[in-house]
Order: sequence, then C-alpha cells, then structure tokens
Amino acid sequence: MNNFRSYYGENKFDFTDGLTLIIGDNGDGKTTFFDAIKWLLDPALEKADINFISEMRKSELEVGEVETVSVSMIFDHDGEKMIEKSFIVERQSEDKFITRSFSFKGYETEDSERFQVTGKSLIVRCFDSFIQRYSMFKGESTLNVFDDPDALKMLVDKLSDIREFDEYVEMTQEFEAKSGTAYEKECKNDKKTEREAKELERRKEDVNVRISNIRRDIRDTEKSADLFTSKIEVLEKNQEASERYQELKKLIESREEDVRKLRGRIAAQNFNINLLDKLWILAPFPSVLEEFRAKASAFSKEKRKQNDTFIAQKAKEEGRKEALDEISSLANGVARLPWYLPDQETMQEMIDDEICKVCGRPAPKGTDAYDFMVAKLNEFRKHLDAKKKAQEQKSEEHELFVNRYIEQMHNLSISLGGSKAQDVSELAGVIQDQLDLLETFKRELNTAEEKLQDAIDDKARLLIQVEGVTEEQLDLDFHNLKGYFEQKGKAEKKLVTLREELTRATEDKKEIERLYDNLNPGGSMAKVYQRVHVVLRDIAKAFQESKELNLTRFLNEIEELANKYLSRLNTGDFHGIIRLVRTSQDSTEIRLLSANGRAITDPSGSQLTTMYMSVLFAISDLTSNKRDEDYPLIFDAPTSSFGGMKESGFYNIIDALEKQCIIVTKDFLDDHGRIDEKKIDQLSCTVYRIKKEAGFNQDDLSTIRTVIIPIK
Amino acid sequence: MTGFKTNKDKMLSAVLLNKHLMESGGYEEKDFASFDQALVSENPVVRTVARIIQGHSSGNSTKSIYNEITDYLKKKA
Repeated sequence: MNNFRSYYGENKFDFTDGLTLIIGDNGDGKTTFFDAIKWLLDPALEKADINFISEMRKSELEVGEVETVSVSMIFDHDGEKMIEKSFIVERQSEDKFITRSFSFKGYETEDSERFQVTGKSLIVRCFDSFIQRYSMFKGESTLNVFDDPDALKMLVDKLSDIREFDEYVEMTQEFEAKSGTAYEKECKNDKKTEREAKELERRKEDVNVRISNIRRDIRDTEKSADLFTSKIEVLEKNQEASERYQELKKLIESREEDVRKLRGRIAAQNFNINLLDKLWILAPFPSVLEEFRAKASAFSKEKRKQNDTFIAQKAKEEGRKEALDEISSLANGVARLPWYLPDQETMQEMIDDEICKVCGRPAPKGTDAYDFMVAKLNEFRKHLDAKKKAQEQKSEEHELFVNRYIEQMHNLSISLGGSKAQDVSELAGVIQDQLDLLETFKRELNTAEEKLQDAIDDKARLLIQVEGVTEEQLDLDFHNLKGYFEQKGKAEKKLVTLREELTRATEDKKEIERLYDNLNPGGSMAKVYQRVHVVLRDIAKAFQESKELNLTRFLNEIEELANKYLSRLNTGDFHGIIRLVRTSQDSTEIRLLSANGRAITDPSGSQLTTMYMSVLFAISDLTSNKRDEDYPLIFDAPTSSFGGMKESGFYNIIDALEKQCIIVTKDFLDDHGRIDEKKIDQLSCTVYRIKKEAGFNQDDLSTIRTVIIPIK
Repeated sequence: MTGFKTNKDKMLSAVLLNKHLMESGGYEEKDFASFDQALVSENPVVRTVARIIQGHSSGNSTKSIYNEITDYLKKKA
C-alpha cells in the first residue's frame, strides 16, 4: 500500500499460509487495511478517489508536485500473478488537489515470461465476486451470508454437486406445459376424443382457477400467519429477555436511586459552610494557641522585667536627687530645718501671731524675723507646687508601657484556653470523622456506580443478544400474546383447510391429466402428441426431484462440514448443532439446535459468530473441493462479542486450521494498547502490529501515519 | 454409471437415476454409461434427457431444444 490513507509511503504485508493476525487499536489502520484490499479487489471500482491519499503525504505536497496512491498484491493462483490499482494525485494550488491516471493492471507469469493483462479480467478470473462475497467480512454482522435471500441459490449454482438445476427445472416444466397444450389441442381436434377433451379442458380450466385462487389464499394466509408467528416469536423469544429486561430496568432504577442518594449525601458535606459556621477553620487552633500563649507569656514576662528595671532606675534617680537636695543644704553650713518644717499651718499661725514659735522670740511685722517667716511660708508653698508638678510630670513621663496590649494578649490567651480550647481541639476529631464518613460515602458511591454500570452493561448485552429488538418491544405488554395466538390459530386452521383444498384440487388436476393421458384418440397425431407429452411430463418431474435431492445433499454437506468446524472452534464449550433449514422461499436459514433438536433461541454473540464462521469455513472447503482452488478468508474484527477466554481459544483453533485466513483485530491488546505476548506466544501464525506512529497531533489527521511492526 | 465429471454428466446421471423415470422410461443404468452414449441412446427418455442437457449447456435456445426433442420424440412415437 503506497500512501493509502493512514498508510504513508510504502507499506508491505507478507501473508503466509494459515493464519495471519494484524493487531491494531482503534484508529490504528485496521479498517483502512481492509478497505484497501476491498478497493483493490473490486473490479467495479475503477476510478480514483482523492480521499484515499494519505493526509500526511498530501500535506507535504508542494504546489505542482504529484504523488502515486496504489495498492497492489502478488498472489499465487495457477501461477504467480499480480494486480495493482493506482492513481496520481497532484497539488494544483494551496487547497486544490486533482486525481488522474487511474490504472488497474494485472500481470501474469507464464513460462517465466511476465505479461500484462487488465486487472479487471484477472480478478474476475481469479477472485470473482462470488468468492469475494464468501471470503471477505467486515465485522460480525456480515458473517451471516444467508441473510441474503439469493445466497442459497448462488451457492448451489456455484458449489453444489450439480449446478444450474433451476434453469433445467424451469425449462422442462415449460416443455411439459407446451407438450400438454399441444396434446390437448390434438385431442380436441380428434373426433373420438373431442367431447371428452373439451369437457376435460373445461374442468382443467376450472381446477387451474381453483388452484390459483387457493394458492393466492394460502400465500395471503401464510403471510398473515407468519406475521402473527413473528410477533409471537418476538414476544416468546424475548419473553425471557423481556422479563430479564424488566428486572434490569427495576435494578437500574433502584441503583440509580442509590447513586442519587449517595451523591446527595456527599453534596451535603459542605465543607465551605462548615469551615466558618462550624469553626472548622480553627482546626489547627490548639497548636496556634499554644504558640500564642507561649509568646504572650514571654511578652508579659519581658514587660514585667522591663518595667521593674524601669521603676528601679527611676526610684534610684529620685532617691539620688532628694539626697543631693539634702546634701546641698548641709553644704551651706546652716543648720536649717527642712522646708516642710514647720508645716504650713504652724508658719501661718506664727506670722499671724508675729512670733517665732520655734525660737520663742517675737517677730513683729516689718522685722527681718517676720519677713523670714513669710519667706519660709512662701518657700514651703513653692516646694509644694514643685512637688505637685514633679509628681504630675513623673506620672506623665515615666510610664514605660503606655498601652496595655500585652495584658490584653495575656487575658486573651487565658480566655481562649479552658473549655473553648478543648472544644476547638476536638474539632480535628470531628473533621476527621466527617472526612471518614465522606470517604465511606465515596466508596459506597463507587460501589453503587459500579453496580449501576454492571446493570446497564447487562441491559446493553441483553439488547445485543436480542438483536433487532428495541427496548420498547421488550417493554411490550404480554397481553398482546393471547390475541396474537388466537389470530395465528385462526390463520393456521385456515391454512390447513386451504392446503387440504389445494391437495384435492391438485389431485383433481392430476386426475384430469390422467384422464387426458388415458384418452384414446383415434388419430395417430394425437397419439403421438400424447406419448411426447407423457415423456416430457415424466422428465420434468425427474428434473424437479433431482434438484430437490441435490439441494438436500448440498445442505447436508455444508452442515456436516460446518458442524466439524463448530466443534473445533468451541472445543471444551457448549456449541450446539448447526442446521440449515430451508424456508418456503427457496432460501435457507442457519439455525443452532441443541442435541434434542430444539432451537437455541437465544445464542450468545460468540456462539453466533462461531456458527457463522463454521459455515463460512465449510463453504470455503467446498469451494476448494469443487473448484480446486483455495481462497483466503479475510475478517475485519470478527470477535468483538467474544470474551477473553473464548477469544484465545478461538484464535488457537483458527491458528491450527490449514486455511489461509487474515484477521484484523484489536484482540490481544490490553487497555494501554500493549500486546499480550503470552497469548501471542501460544500462536504459531504470522502476527503484525499496526499502530499510529508516535508523536502525532490528536487534532491533526495529517500527522497520523500507520506503521507496521512484524511481531512474529 | 461411473466416470461422470462435468456438470452435464452429473446432471444426466442425477435425472436418469430417478426411480420413477427409470420405471416409466423403461431403461437401465447401463443405457447411459457415458454422456455421448446417452446422446445416441435408443431409449427415447435417455436420449431426450441427454439432448436437453446438451442443448442447454451448448447455449441453445429453449425453443430450439423443445423443437429438437419433440421432433425426435414424435418420430420415435
């Protein structure tokens, strides 16, 4: 593949005999691989498609530059052959690309000489549409080849022991009718049989009309019965599923309620509100308080210390001043009384009395002694004023700590202690309890969500199992069932009557034909036509019966082969028995039966897939046997409904089949896109890993490139 | 009858081995040992069946096949 979509540049796969696995994750290029093969092999697709070019290569093209997109295949089919489809893409401007030069070539090698043929003729010759129809499958849903109403006829025509029976049966029936008409005509012209022949003709016309009418009624009634049958089948087939659906629906509702409640409980744990309203913000408070108290205590101590030092210093200074004052008086050499002796009242009394009551001498006004006393009183008053001022100044100037913050801090640390601190210290426990509760709710929510998802998954699986049945149908009221049964019963009764009528009418017709055949015409020509007609009638009947026999043998052959494969593909597991059941429209349905002959009405996805694949392998075997040619079977994601165990067993068995088989799958990959090497080691087949080259931009298709890694 | 390989060989064998046809046609298995032998068989049923198959496999029209076999059968009758 060259520059085909995500396959940038040249890419090559080698397919050996037996199984080749191409493993890739979603978007890694699995379907692109399958589409490339489909495009190459479809002879009807003979034009270029601009969407096929690798976006990476496209983005690199300069204006005027060209690139080739091609898919080619070398294969062995009666000698080595090659086919190639290609076209050229040219960039004409920034955003204009054109395609041209589409080619579809084939090459054959004969006697060591290689020569070119058209790809179309080579494909039609080597891998025609019929073979492709039964060789290439995209997804599980395409595996039931008998979904196509023409499938049986096509298979019988191509692969049954004897082909083209239908054409012979149709032709000989036409001969029978034609010769009958000719004979009847001769009988009517024969004098001997004229009257009887005319009567038989009339009766024959009547019976033909009767038969035609009965057949029409049967068809209508069959349709009607089929309709009710299918309705009943849907109801019955899905009865178990419907009951299970109802259970699951209730279970889902109940689990949704659990999830809702738990989500509500979790949502109710509003930590934002608790943070302030319930003071959770104080959870780290005890350690902060401890630190605060330590600091408050330290500050308090420091304050007291500093204050004590200050007071001591002050006292010391005051004491020194007073001492100096006293020392100063003594220095004058006068032994005088301190300023406060005598006191103010005594001095005032002495002045008023004009006598010094200290020495007892009179001190009349105007004398020095009197003036001395007045001066002494003034000095006393002056001292008092000075002392008062000094005291005021002292109280103003010598307060070391003007504010009381430290005391406030101290008081706060005391007030925050005790019961309050205890309450706060318990908050951590409360919060932890709440967090634990929340964790419990979350765990319960996870469990509830898992359970809900399980129930939803169960419902999804159920809907897959009852493919094509909607939830609404599963919800149907089973009261409808009774009515359908009654209507079906009526239709079936009518059918019995009509079929009896048809049998009688057919017998009547046979009797008329027998009477015709037994007519004894007088004329020789009529006798000749009579014999010709009898021979052609018997021959037509023999062709019809041989066709039926051939078809039965063919279906038995497919069944036998398919059941062998089914048994191998399900080794160690229940697999049932495949039956190809012919339907009224000359088509066939594949059914899975239990050993007791009862249909398995509700096969699992993997049972269905292995059943269809078994039929495909059987058809492939028949193709090989009848056409003496082998073809690869190519599957894109055939096992999406398989479980892990089933999947491994399935691949191990396919691996052991001697059949070229290419399976593109994402099996063997874990959730991280890693290959399960243990499982791969168990296989002997060729394995490729395809993946997107690392470093791509998730939003840019032009960065996507598939790389092919041979694993084994 | 042995040695039938082609589709027309198998078709001839399958039809001529029909029990009812053998009874009404009055022939036996040895009367159609090969396709070529059946084409020139003296038995009209064997020969007619062979002619029908031969005519169809040769791409002849239904009408010409019918005319051929009825002409033959008329003569034989």
